[in-house]
Amino acid sequence: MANAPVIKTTGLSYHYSKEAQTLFDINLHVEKGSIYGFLGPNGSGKTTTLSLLLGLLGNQQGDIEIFGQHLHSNRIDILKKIGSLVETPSLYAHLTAKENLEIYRTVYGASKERVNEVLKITGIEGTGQKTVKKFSLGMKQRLSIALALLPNPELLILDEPSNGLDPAGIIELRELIKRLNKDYGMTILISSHLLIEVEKMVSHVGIIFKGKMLFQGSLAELHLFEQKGSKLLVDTSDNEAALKLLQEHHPEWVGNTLALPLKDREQIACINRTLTQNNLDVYLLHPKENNLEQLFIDLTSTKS
Amino acid sequence: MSLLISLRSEVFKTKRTVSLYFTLAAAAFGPLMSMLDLIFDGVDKDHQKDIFNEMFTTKFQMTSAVVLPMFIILICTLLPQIEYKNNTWKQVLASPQLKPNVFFAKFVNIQLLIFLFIVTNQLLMFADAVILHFMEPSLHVLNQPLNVSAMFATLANGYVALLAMSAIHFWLGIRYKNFIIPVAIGIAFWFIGSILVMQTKLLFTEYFPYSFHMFVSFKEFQLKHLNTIRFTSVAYTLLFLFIGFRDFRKKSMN
Repeated sequence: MANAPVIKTTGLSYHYSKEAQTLFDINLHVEKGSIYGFLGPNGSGKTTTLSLLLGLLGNQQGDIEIFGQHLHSNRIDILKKIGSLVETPSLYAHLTAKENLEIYRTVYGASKERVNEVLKITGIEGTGQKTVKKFSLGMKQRLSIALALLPNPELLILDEPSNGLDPAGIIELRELIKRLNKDYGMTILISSHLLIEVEKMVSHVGIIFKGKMLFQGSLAELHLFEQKGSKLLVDTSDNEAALKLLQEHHPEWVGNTLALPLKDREQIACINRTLTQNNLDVYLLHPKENNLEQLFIDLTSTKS
Repeated sequence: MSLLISLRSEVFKTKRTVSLYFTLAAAAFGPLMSMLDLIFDGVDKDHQKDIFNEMFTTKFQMTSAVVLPMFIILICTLLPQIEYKNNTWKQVLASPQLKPNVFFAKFVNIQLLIFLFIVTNQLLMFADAVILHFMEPSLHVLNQPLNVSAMFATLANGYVALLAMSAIHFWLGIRYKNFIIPVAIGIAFWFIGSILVMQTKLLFTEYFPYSFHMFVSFKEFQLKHLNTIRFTSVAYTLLFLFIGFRDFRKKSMN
Protein backbone atom coordinates (compact mmCIF):
# COMPACT_ATOMS: atom_id res chain seq x y z
CA MET A 1 0.00 0.00 0.00
CA ALA A 2 3.03 2.27 0.54
CA ASN A 3 3.41 2.73 -3.21
CA ALA A 4 -0.29 3.13 -3.99
CA PRO A 5 -0.66 6.21 -6.19
CA VAL A 6 -2.78 8.96 -4.71
CA ILE A 7 -2.60 10.78 -8.03
CA LYS A 8 -2.27 9.01 -11.33
CA THR A 9 -2.63 10.75 -14.66
CA THR A 10 -2.45 8.93 -17.93
CA GLY A 11 -1.64 10.66 -21.19
CA LEU A 12 -2.82 14.03 -19.95
CA SER A 13 -2.74 16.66 -22.68
CA TYR A 14 -4.23 20.13 -22.76
CA HIS A 15 -4.41 23.16 -25.02
CA TYR A 16 -5.85 26.61 -24.37
CA SER A 17 -5.95 27.34 -28.09
CA LYS A 18 -5.64 25.08 -31.11
CA GLU A 19 -2.35 26.70 -32.09
CA ALA A 20 -0.57 26.22 -28.77
CA GLN A 21 -0.48 22.89 -26.95
CA THR A 22 0.24 23.44 -23.22
CA LEU A 23 0.61 19.87 -21.94
CA PHE A 24 1.83 16.77 -23.76
CA ASP A 25 1.24 13.27 -22.45
CA ILE A 26 1.69 13.96 -18.73
CA ASN A 27 1.85 10.78 -16.66
CA LEU A 28 2.05 11.87 -13.06
CA HIS A 29 2.44 9.25 -10.38
CA VAL A 30 2.25 10.60 -6.83
CA GLU A 31 2.67 7.94 -4.18
CA LYS A 32 0.78 7.89 -0.91
CA GLY A 33 2.72 9.54 1.91
CA SER A 34 5.19 11.25 -0.40
CA ILE A 35 6.13 14.89 -0.80
CA TYR A 36 6.20 15.32 -4.55
CA GLY A 37 8.03 18.33 -5.93
CA PHE A 38 6.55 19.37 -9.25
CA LEU A 39 9.26 21.47 -10.82
CA GLY A 40 9.53 23.59 -13.88
CA PRO A 41 10.26 27.13 -14.97
CA ASN A 42 7.43 29.64 -15.28
CA GLY A 43 5.10 28.81 -18.15
CA SER A 44 6.10 25.14 -18.23
CA GLY A 45 2.58 23.87 -17.48
CA LYS A 46 2.65 23.31 -13.71
CA THR A 47 -0.41 25.40 -12.85
CA THR A 48 -2.32 23.99 -15.83
CA THR A 49 -1.60 20.46 -14.57
CA LEU A 50 -2.67 21.34 -11.02
CA SER A 51 -5.80 23.08 -12.32
CA LEU A 52 -6.69 19.89 -14.19
CA LEU A 53 -6.14 17.84 -11.02
CA LEU A 54 -8.54 20.09 -9.10
CA GLY A 55 -11.16 20.05 -11.85
CA LEU A 56 -10.71 23.74 -12.54
CA LEU A 57 -10.07 22.97 -16.19
CA GLY A 58 -12.04 20.55 -18.31
CA ASN A 59 -10.15 17.39 -19.15
CA GLN A 60 -9.48 17.32 -22.91
CA GLN A 61 -7.33 14.26 -23.34
CA GLY A 62 -6.08 11.58 -20.98
CA ASP A 63 -7.30 10.35 -17.64
CA ILE A 64 -7.01 11.57 -14.03
CA GLU A 65 -7.38 9.23 -11.08
CA ILE A 66 -7.18 10.53 -7.51
CA PHE A 67 -7.50 8.16 -4.54
CA GLY A 68 -8.17 5.46 -7.15
CA GLN A 69 -11.31 7.24 -8.41
CA HIS A 70 -11.87 9.01 -11.71
CA LEU A 71 -11.85 12.74 -11.05
CA HIS A 72 -14.70 13.78 -13.29
CA SER A 73 -17.19 11.20 -12.08
CA ASN A 74 -16.31 11.69 -8.38
CA ARG A 75 -15.25 15.34 -8.27
CA ILE A 76 -17.01 16.36 -5.05
CA ASP A 77 -16.00 13.24 -3.06
CA ILE A 78 -12.40 13.67 -4.15
CA LEU A 79 -12.28 17.42 -3.44
CA LYS A 80 -13.54 16.80 0.11
CA LYS A 81 -10.26 15.02 0.80
CA ILE A 82 -8.00 17.56 -0.90
CA GLY A 83 -6.65 20.76 0.55
CA SER A 84 -5.46 23.17 -2.09
CA LEU A 85 -3.69 26.44 -2.46
CA VAL A 86 -4.25 27.31 -6.07
CA GLU A 87 -3.21 30.88 -6.44
CA THR A 88 -1.90 33.03 -3.65
CA PRO A 89 -3.19 35.04 -1.95
CA SER A 90 -6.69 33.70 -2.53
CA LEU A 91 -8.41 35.20 0.48
CA TYR A 92 -11.18 37.69 1.28
CA ALA A 93 -9.24 40.81 2.24
CA HIS A 94 -12.14 42.44 4.14
CA LEU A 95 -12.48 39.51 6.56
CA THR A 96 -10.38 38.23 9.46
CA ALA A 97 -8.40 34.98 9.37
CA LYS A 98 -11.12 33.14 11.30
CA GLU A 99 -13.88 34.53 9.07
CA ASN A 100 -12.02 33.42 5.96
CA LEU A 101 -11.89 29.90 7.34
CA GLU A 102 -15.52 30.11 8.47
CA ILE A 103 -16.60 30.64 4.83
CA TYR A 104 -15.31 27.18 3.94
CA ARG A 105 -15.84 25.41 7.28
CA THR A 106 -19.28 23.98 6.53
CA VAL A 107 -18.40 23.44 2.86
CA TYR A 108 -15.71 21.00 4.01
CA GLY A 109 -17.80 19.74 6.93
CA ALA A 110 -15.11 20.83 9.42
CA SER A 111 -15.79 21.51 13.09
CA LYS A 112 -15.35 24.88 14.82
CA GLU A 113 -12.46 23.37 16.80
CA ARG A 114 -10.73 22.55 13.52
CA VAL A 115 -10.66 26.27 12.66
CA ASN A 116 -8.67 27.02 15.82
CA GLU A 117 -6.53 23.95 15.22
CA VAL A 118 -5.39 24.97 11.72
CA LEU A 119 -4.74 28.52 12.89
CA LYS A 120 -2.51 27.06 15.59
CA ILE A 121 -0.73 24.67 13.20
CA THR A 122 0.12 27.55 10.88
CA GLY A 123 1.01 29.90 13.74
CA ILE A 124 -1.55 32.66 13.08
CA GLU A 125 -3.91 32.03 15.97
CA GLY A 126 -3.27 35.44 17.50
CA THR A 127 -4.45 37.66 14.63
CA GLY A 128 -7.83 38.37 16.27
CA GLN A 129 -9.91 41.07 14.55
CA LYS A 130 -7.15 42.08 12.14
CA THR A 131 -8.48 41.84 8.59
CA VAL A 132 -6.50 40.03 5.92
CA LYS A 133 -5.75 43.23 3.99
CA LYS A 134 -3.51 44.22 6.91
CA PHE A 135 -1.62 40.91 6.84
CA SER A 136 1.94 40.58 5.55
CA LEU A 137 2.44 38.29 2.54
CA GLY A 138 3.89 35.64 4.84
CA MET A 139 0.80 35.73 7.04
CA LYS A 140 -1.48 35.55 4.00
CA GLN A 141 0.47 32.52 2.82
CA ARG A 142 0.08 30.85 6.23
CA LEU A 143 -3.64 31.56 6.18
CA SER A 144 -3.90 30.07 2.69
CA ILE A 145 -2.23 26.94 4.02
CA ALA A 146 -4.55 26.96 7.05
CA LEU A 147 -7.45 27.04 4.60
CA ALA A 148 -5.97 24.12 2.69
CA LEU A 149 -5.62 22.18 5.97
CA LEU A 150 -9.20 22.86 7.05
CA PRO A 151 -10.67 19.57 5.73
CA ASN A 152 -7.83 17.61 7.38
CA PRO A 153 -6.91 16.51 3.86
CA GLU A 154 -5.31 13.29 2.75
CA LEU A 155 -3.76 15.17 -0.15
CA LEU A 156 -2.41 18.70 -0.12
CA ILE A 157 -1.86 20.47 -3.43
CA LEU A 158 0.22 23.62 -3.12
CA ASP A 159 0.91 25.78 -6.16
CA GLU A 160 4.14 27.72 -5.65
CA PRO A 161 3.50 28.33 -1.94
CA SER A 162 6.85 30.04 -1.32
CA ASN A 163 6.21 32.78 -3.89
CA GLY A 164 6.93 36.15 -2.35
CA LEU A 165 8.17 34.77 0.96
CA ASP A 166 11.40 36.01 2.55
CA PRO A 167 14.13 33.44 3.36
CA ALA A 168 12.89 33.00 6.94
CA GLY A 169 9.34 32.47 5.65
CA ILE A 170 10.58 29.88 3.16
CA ILE A 171 12.36 27.95 5.90
CA GLU A 172 9.25 28.05 8.11
CA LEU A 173 7.09 26.86 5.25
CA ARG A 174 9.49 24.02 4.51
CA GLU A 175 9.43 22.88 8.13
CA LEU A 176 5.63 23.09 8.19
CA ILE A 177 5.30 20.97 5.04
CA LYS A 178 7.70 18.37 6.42
CA ARG A 179 5.77 18.30 9.70
CA LEU A 180 2.42 17.87 7.98
CA ASN A 181 3.80 14.97 6.02
CA LYS A 182 5.49 13.33 8.99
CA ASP A 183 2.96 13.97 11.76
CA TYR A 184 -0.30 13.81 9.82
CA GLY A 185 0.73 11.44 7.01
CA MET A 186 -0.44 13.88 4.33
CA THR A 187 0.58 13.31 0.76
CA ILE A 188 1.80 16.63 -0.57
CA LEU A 189 2.15 17.81 -4.14
CA ILE A 190 4.04 21.06 -4.26
CA SER A 191 4.88 22.97 -7.41
CA SER A 192 7.81 25.32 -7.54
CA HIS A 193 10.44 26.89 -9.68
CA LEU A 194 12.66 27.36 -6.64
CA LEU A 195 14.64 24.19 -7.10
CA ILE A 196 17.04 24.46 -4.16
CA GLU A 197 14.11 25.02 -1.86
CA VAL A 198 12.20 21.95 -3.02
CA GLU A 199 15.24 19.70 -2.98
CA LYS A 200 15.39 20.01 0.79
CA MET A 201 11.93 18.69 1.53
CA VAL A 202 10.66 16.40 -1.22
CA SER A 203 10.83 12.63 -1.44
CA HIS A 204 9.86 12.53 -5.11
CA VAL A 205 10.40 14.85 -8.02
CA GLY A 206 8.74 15.49 -11.36
CA ILE A 207 10.34 17.94 -13.76
CA ILE A 208 8.18 19.51 -16.42
CA PHE A 209 9.40 21.73 -19.23
CA LYS A 210 7.40 23.18 -22.10
CA GLY A 211 4.49 20.91 -21.17
CA LYS A 212 6.52 17.68 -21.22
CA MET A 213 7.71 15.59 -18.29
CA LEU A 214 11.50 15.33 -18.43
CA PHE A 215 12.02 13.36 -15.25
CA GLN A 216 9.92 11.65 -12.63
CA GLY A 217 11.07 9.51 -9.72
CA SER A 218 12.28 9.39 -6.15
CA LEU A 219 14.96 11.70 -4.83
CA ALA A 220 17.33 8.70 -4.71
CA GLU A 221 16.71 8.05 -8.40
CA LEU A 222 17.33 11.70 -9.07
CA HIS A 223 20.64 11.59 -7.18
CA LEU A 224 21.67 8.60 -9.28
CA PHE A 225 20.79 10.66 -12.31
CA GLU A 226 22.80 13.53 -10.87
CA GLN A 227 25.81 11.31 -10.36
CA LYS A 228 25.63 10.13 -13.93
CA GLY A 229 25.61 13.71 -15.05
CA SER A 230 28.64 14.84 -12.99
CA LYS A 231 31.58 16.10 -15.00
CA LEU A 232 35.24 16.93 -14.49
CA LEU A 233 36.40 20.11 -16.17
CA VAL A 234 40.04 20.02 -17.27
CA ASP A 235 42.27 22.84 -18.51
CA THR A 236 45.96 22.31 -19.29
CA SER A 237 48.85 23.99 -21.11
CA ASP A 238 47.95 21.87 -24.20
CA ASN A 239 44.33 20.74 -24.27
CA GLU A 240 44.70 19.10 -27.72
CA ALA A 241 47.37 16.78 -26.28
CA ALA A 242 45.26 16.21 -23.17
CA LEU A 243 42.31 15.22 -25.36
CA LYS A 244 44.41 12.46 -26.95
CA LEU A 245 45.85 11.30 -23.62
CA LEU A 246 42.41 11.07 -21.94
CA GLN A 247 40.59 9.27 -24.79
CA GLU A 248 39.59 6.37 -22.51
CA HIS A 249 37.60 8.86 -20.34
CA HIS A 250 35.58 10.09 -23.35
CA PRO A 251 36.42 13.80 -23.09
CA GLU A 252 34.59 16.49 -25.03
CA TRP A 253 35.13 20.17 -25.66
CA VAL A 254 33.28 22.69 -23.50
CA GLY A 255 34.47 26.03 -24.86
CA ASN A 256 38.28 25.95 -24.56
CA THR A 257 38.31 23.38 -21.78
CA LEU A 258 37.65 19.66 -21.67
CA ALA A 259 34.80 17.95 -19.84
CA LEU A 260 34.89 14.28 -18.82
CA PRO A 261 32.21 12.12 -17.20
CA LEU A 262 33.12 11.90 -13.51
CA LYS A 263 32.81 8.58 -11.71
CA ASP A 264 34.67 9.08 -8.40
CA ARG A 265 37.48 11.01 -6.63
CA GLU A 266 40.14 8.44 -7.54
CA GLN A 267 39.48 9.14 -11.20
CA ILE A 268 40.49 12.79 -10.63
CA ALA A 269 43.85 11.73 -9.14
CA CYS A 270 44.45 9.29 -11.99
CA ILE A 271 43.77 11.97 -14.63
CA ASN A 272 46.07 14.43 -12.84
CA ARG A 273 48.86 11.85 -12.81
CA THR A 274 48.43 11.06 -16.52
CA LEU A 275 48.61 14.74 -17.45
CA THR A 276 51.64 15.65 -15.29
CA GLN A 277 53.56 12.51 -16.27
CA ASN A 278 53.17 13.67 -19.89
CA ASN A 279 54.63 17.11 -19.06
CA LEU A 280 51.36 19.02 -19.27
CA ASP A 281 50.78 21.87 -16.83
CA VAL A 282 47.38 21.44 -15.12
CA TYR A 283 45.57 24.75 -14.59
CA LEU A 284 42.14 23.38 -13.74
CA LEU A 285 40.68 20.13 -12.46
CA HIS A 286 37.16 21.03 -11.41
CA PRO A 287 34.58 18.40 -10.46
CA LYS A 288 31.25 19.83 -11.51
CA GLU A 289 28.64 17.84 -9.62
CA ASN A 290 25.09 18.06 -10.76
CA ASN A 291 22.84 19.32 -8.04
CA LEU A 292 19.16 19.53 -8.79
CA GLU A 293 19.58 23.11 -9.91
CA GLN A 294 22.28 22.17 -12.42
CA LEU A 295 20.43 19.06 -13.50
CA PHE A 296 17.29 21.11 -14.03
CA ILE A 297 19.15 23.66 -16.12
CA ASP A 298 20.86 20.87 -18.09
CA LEU A 299 17.63 18.98 -18.66
CA THR A 300 15.67 22.02 -19.71
CA SER A 301 18.41 23.59 -21.84
CA THR A 302 19.12 20.31 -23.66
CA LYS A 303 15.48 20.01 -24.61
CA SER A 304 14.95 23.61 -25.63
CA MET B 1 -28.87 20.96 1.98
CA SER B 2 -25.68 21.60 0.04
CA LEU B 3 -27.32 24.65 -1.59
CA LEU B 4 -27.92 25.99 1.92
CA ILE B 5 -24.28 25.34 2.81
CA SER B 6 -23.17 27.25 -0.30
CA LEU B 7 -25.67 30.02 0.55
CA ARG B 8 -24.28 30.27 4.09
CA SER B 9 -20.81 30.63 2.59
CA GLU B 10 -22.02 33.37 0.22
CA VAL B 11 -23.83 35.29 2.95
CA PHE B 12 -20.71 35.10 5.12
CA LYS B 13 -18.59 36.64 2.35
CA THR B 14 -20.70 39.80 2.42
CA LYS B 15 -19.89 40.36 6.10
CA ARG B 16 -18.01 43.63 6.62
CA THR B 17 -18.78 44.69 3.03
CA VAL B 18 -20.81 47.79 2.24
CA SER B 19 -23.57 45.69 0.65
CA LEU B 20 -25.70 45.56 3.80
CA TYR B 21 -25.34 49.31 4.54
CA PHE B 22 -25.88 50.08 0.86
CA THR B 23 -29.11 48.04 0.90
CA LEU B 24 -30.39 49.81 4.00
CA ALA B 25 -29.40 53.25 2.72
CA ALA B 26 -31.02 52.64 -0.68
CA ALA B 27 -34.18 51.33 1.00
CA ALA B 28 -34.32 54.42 3.24
CA PHE B 29 -34.00 56.86 0.34
CA GLY B 30 -37.70 56.77 -0.70
CA PRO B 31 -39.17 57.06 2.83
CA LEU B 32 -36.72 59.86 3.65
CA MET B 33 -37.69 61.85 0.55
CA SER B 34 -41.33 61.18 1.30
CA MET B 35 -40.89 62.43 4.86
CA LEU B 36 -39.15 65.60 3.69
CA ASP B 37 -41.93 66.13 1.17
CA LEU B 38 -44.58 65.78 3.90
CA ILE B 39 -42.72 68.12 6.24
CA PHE B 40 -42.11 70.89 3.73
CA ASP B 41 -45.07 70.58 1.36
CA GLY B 42 -47.65 68.88 3.56
CA VAL B 43 -50.27 66.43 2.29
CA ASP B 44 -52.07 67.18 -0.94
CA LYS B 45 -55.82 67.65 -0.36
CA ASP B 46 -56.68 65.03 -2.97
CA HIS B 47 -54.67 62.42 -1.13
CA GLN B 48 -55.66 63.15 2.45
CA LYS B 49 -58.49 60.60 2.54
CA ASP B 50 -56.40 57.61 1.65
CA ILE B 51 -52.91 58.72 2.62
CA PHE B 52 -52.11 55.53 4.55
CA ASN B 53 -52.65 53.31 1.50
CA GLU B 54 -50.96 55.85 -0.75
CA MET B 55 -47.80 55.59 1.31
CA PHE B 56 -47.57 51.85 0.88
CA THR B 57 -48.60 51.56 -2.73
CA THR B 58 -47.99 54.77 -4.73
CA LYS B 59 -44.75 55.56 -2.90
CA PHE B 60 -43.42 52.05 -3.49
CA GLN B 61 -44.40 52.32 -7.12
CA MET B 62 -42.22 55.41 -7.32
CA THR B 63 -39.41 53.60 -5.57
CA SER B 64 -39.64 50.73 -8.04
CA ALA B 65 -39.34 53.21 -10.92
CA VAL B 66 -35.91 54.58 -10.00
CA VAL B 67 -34.32 53.55 -6.71
CA LEU B 68 -35.00 49.80 -6.84
CA PRO B 69 -33.80 49.34 -10.46
CA MET B 70 -30.62 51.30 -9.68
CA PHE B 71 -30.11 49.26 -6.52
CA ILE B 72 -30.59 46.00 -8.45
CA ILE B 73 -28.18 47.06 -11.21
CA LEU B 74 -25.49 47.91 -8.65
CA ILE B 75 -25.94 45.06 -6.18
CA CYS B 76 -26.23 42.34 -8.86
CA THR B 77 -23.06 43.61 -10.47
CA LEU B 78 -21.04 44.34 -7.36
CA LEU B 79 -21.66 41.19 -5.32
CA PRO B 80 -20.05 38.76 -7.79
CA GLN B 81 -17.11 41.21 -7.89
CA ILE B 82 -16.07 39.94 -4.43
CA GLU B 83 -14.46 36.93 -6.11
CA TYR B 84 -12.72 38.94 -8.83
CA LYS B 85 -11.49 41.58 -6.40
CA ASN B 86 -9.99 39.02 -4.02
CA ASN B 87 -8.82 36.64 -6.74
CA THR B 88 -10.78 33.83 -5.11
CA TRP B 89 -12.69 32.24 -7.98
CA LYS B 90 -10.25 29.32 -8.25
CA GLN B 91 -10.39 28.63 -4.52
CA VAL B 92 -14.20 28.63 -4.62
CA LEU B 93 -14.31 26.25 -7.57
CA ALA B 94 -11.64 23.96 -6.09
CA SER B 95 -13.79 23.47 -2.98
CA PRO B 96 -16.23 20.55 -2.84
CA GLN B 97 -19.32 22.44 -4.01
CA LEU B 98 -21.44 21.67 -7.03
CA LYS B 99 -21.15 24.44 -9.60
CA PRO B 100 -24.96 24.92 -9.79
CA ASN B 101 -24.96 25.40 -6.01
CA VAL B 102 -22.24 28.07 -6.17
CA PHE B 103 -24.08 29.86 -8.98
CA PHE B 104 -27.57 29.74 -7.46
CA ALA B 105 -26.35 30.49 -3.92
CA LYS B 106 -24.91 33.74 -5.27
CA PHE B 107 -28.21 34.56 -7.00
CA VAL B 108 -30.27 33.74 -3.90
CA ASN B 109 -27.95 35.89 -1.79
CA ILE B 110 -28.74 38.83 -4.07
CA GLN B 111 -32.47 38.10 -3.88
CA LEU B 112 -32.21 38.11 -0.07
CA LEU B 113 -30.75 41.61 -0.23
CA ILE B 114 -33.57 42.71 -2.57
CA PHE B 115 -36.08 41.32 -0.05
CA LEU B 116 -34.28 43.16 2.70
CA PHE B 117 -34.56 46.33 0.62
CA ILE B 118 -38.31 45.90 0.20
CA VAL B 119 -38.97 45.01 3.84
CA THR B 120 -36.83 47.90 5.13
CA ASN B 121 -38.48 50.28 2.69
CA GLN B 122 -41.93 49.30 3.89
CA LEU B 123 -41.00 49.46 7.58
CA LEU B 124 -39.58 52.94 7.12
CA MET B 125 -42.66 53.94 5.18
CA PHE B 126 -44.72 52.77 8.15
CA ALA B 127 -42.47 54.90 10.37
CA ASP B 128 -43.29 57.82 8.05
CA ALA B 129 -46.99 57.09 8.53
CA VAL B 130 -46.60 57.07 12.32
CA ILE B 131 -44.73 60.37 12.23
CA LEU B 132 -47.39 61.87 9.96
CA HIS B 133 -50.13 60.60 12.27
CA PHE B 134 -48.69 62.62 15.13
CA MET B 135 -47.65 65.53 12.93
CA GLU B 136 -51.11 65.92 11.39
CA PRO B 137 -53.54 64.41 13.93
CA SER B 138 -56.51 65.66 11.91
CA LEU B 139 -55.69 63.19 9.14
CA HIS B 140 -56.06 60.18 11.46
CA VAL B 141 -53.57 58.38 9.29
CA LEU B 142 -53.27 55.26 11.41
CA ASN B 143 -57.05 55.01 11.70
CA GLN B 144 -57.51 54.83 7.95
CA PRO B 145 -58.19 51.30 6.64
CA LEU B 146 -55.16 49.70 5.08
CA ASN B 147 -55.69 47.59 1.98
CA VAL B 148 -53.18 44.87 2.83
CA SER B 149 -53.85 42.75 -0.25
CA ALA B 150 -53.31 45.76 -2.54
CA MET B 151 -50.10 46.53 -0.69
CA PHE B 152 -48.75 43.00 -1.09
CA ALA B 153 -49.88 42.92 -4.73
CA THR B 154 -47.90 46.12 -5.39
CA LEU B 155 -44.81 44.73 -3.68
CA ALA B 156 -45.07 41.40 -5.48
CA ASN B 157 -45.59 43.09 -8.86
CA GLY B 158 -42.62 45.36 -8.26
CA TYR B 159 -40.41 42.45 -7.30
CA VAL B 160 -41.50 40.17 -10.14
CA ALA B 161 -41.20 42.92 -12.76
CA LEU B 162 -37.62 43.61 -11.71
CA LEU B 163 -36.64 39.95 -11.39
CA ALA B 164 -35.63 39.81 -15.07
CA MET B 165 -33.33 42.79 -14.63
CA SER B 166 -31.71 41.15 -11.61
CA ALA B 167 -31.09 37.92 -13.56
CA ILE B 168 -29.57 39.83 -16.50
CA HIS B 169 -27.27 41.85 -14.23
CA PHE B 170 -26.32 38.83 -12.18
CA TRP B 171 -25.18 37.17 -15.41
CA LEU B 172 -23.28 40.29 -16.47
CA GLY B 173 -21.71 40.65 -13.01
CA ILE B 174 -20.43 37.07 -13.14
CA ARG B 175 -19.27 37.45 -16.74
CA TYR B 176 -17.36 40.72 -16.57
CA LYS B 177 -14.35 41.27 -14.36
CA ASN B 178 -14.76 44.99 -14.93
CA PHE B 179 -17.95 46.09 -13.17
CA ILE B 180 -18.16 49.39 -15.07
CA ILE B 181 -19.45 47.64 -18.22
CA PRO B 182 -22.51 45.98 -16.61
CA VAL B 183 -23.35 49.10 -14.59
CA ALA B 184 -23.11 51.30 -17.71
CA ILE B 185 -25.27 48.85 -19.68
CA GLY B 186 -27.82 48.80 -16.86
CA ILE B 187 -28.14 52.56 -16.47
CA ALA B 188 -28.26 53.17 -20.23
CA PHE B 189 -30.93 50.49 -20.80
CA TRP B 190 -32.96 51.60 -17.77
CA PHE B 191 -33.02 55.12 -19.22
CA ILE B 192 -33.93 53.89 -22.70
CA GLY B 193 -36.57 51.53 -21.28
CA SER B 194 -38.17 54.36 -19.29
CA ILE B 195 -38.17 56.79 -22.21
CA LEU B 196 -39.61 54.22 -24.59
CA VAL B 197 -42.65 53.65 -22.40
CA MET B 198 -43.15 57.35 -21.59
CA GLN B 199 -42.71 58.71 -25.08
CA THR B 200 -43.59 56.10 -27.62
CA LYS B 201 -45.71 53.54 -25.73
CA LEU B 202 -44.57 50.96 -28.24
CA LEU B 203 -46.02 47.50 -27.87
CA PHE B 204 -42.60 45.82 -27.77
CA THR B 205 -41.78 47.54 -24.47
CA GLU B 206 -43.85 44.77 -22.91
CA TYR B 207 -40.99 42.50 -23.90
CA PHE B 208 -38.11 44.83 -23.06
CA PRO B 209 -37.05 43.98 -19.47
CA TYR B 210 -35.65 47.45 -18.82
CA SER B 211 -39.14 48.91 -19.36
CA PHE B 212 -40.95 46.61 -16.93
CA HIS B 213 -40.56 48.88 -13.90
CA MET B 214 -42.59 51.53 -15.71
CA PHE B 215 -45.62 49.27 -15.96
CA VAL B 216 -45.58 48.73 -12.20
CA SER B 217 -44.92 52.36 -11.37
CA PHE B 218 -47.55 54.10 -13.47
CA LYS B 219 -51.19 53.24 -13.07
CA GLU B 220 -52.13 54.06 -16.65
CA PHE B 221 -50.03 51.11 -17.90
CA GLN B 222 -50.87 48.62 -15.16
CA LEU B 223 -54.26 47.24 -16.12
CA LYS B 224 -53.40 46.74 -19.74
CA HIS B 225 -49.97 45.19 -19.45
CA LEU B 226 -49.26 43.83 -16.00
CA ASN B 227 -50.13 40.19 -16.68
CA THR B 228 -47.86 40.09 -19.72
CA ILE B 229 -45.09 41.82 -17.79
CA ARG B 230 -45.22 39.33 -14.93
CA PHE B 231 -45.11 36.37 -17.25
CA THR B 232 -42.40 37.84 -19.50
CA SER B 233 -40.24 38.83 -16.54
CA VAL B 234 -40.30 35.30 -15.10
CA ALA B 235 -39.54 33.88 -18.55
CA TYR B 236 -36.58 36.26 -18.97
CA THR B 237 -35.35 35.36 -15.49
CA LEU B 238 -35.29 31.67 -16.33
CA LEU B 239 -33.69 32.36 -19.71
CA PHE B 240 -30.90 34.55 -18.30
CA LEU B 241 -30.25 32.22 -15.38
CA PHE B 242 -29.84 29.43 -17.92
CA ILE B 243 -27.53 31.54 -20.12
CA GLY B 244 -25.67 32.77 -17.03
CA PHE B 245 -25.14 29.28 -15.69
CA ARG B 246 -23.87 27.99 -19.05
CA ASP B 247 -21.52 30.93 -19.20
CA PHE B 248 -20.39 30.35 -15.62
CA ARG B 249 -19.68 26.66 -16.27
CA LYS B 250 -17.77 27.48 -19.42
CA LYS B 251 -15.85 30.26 -17.70
CA SER B 252 -14.97 28.09 -14.70
CA MET B 253 -13.52 25.49 -17.05
CA ASN B 254 -11.18 27.91 -18.81
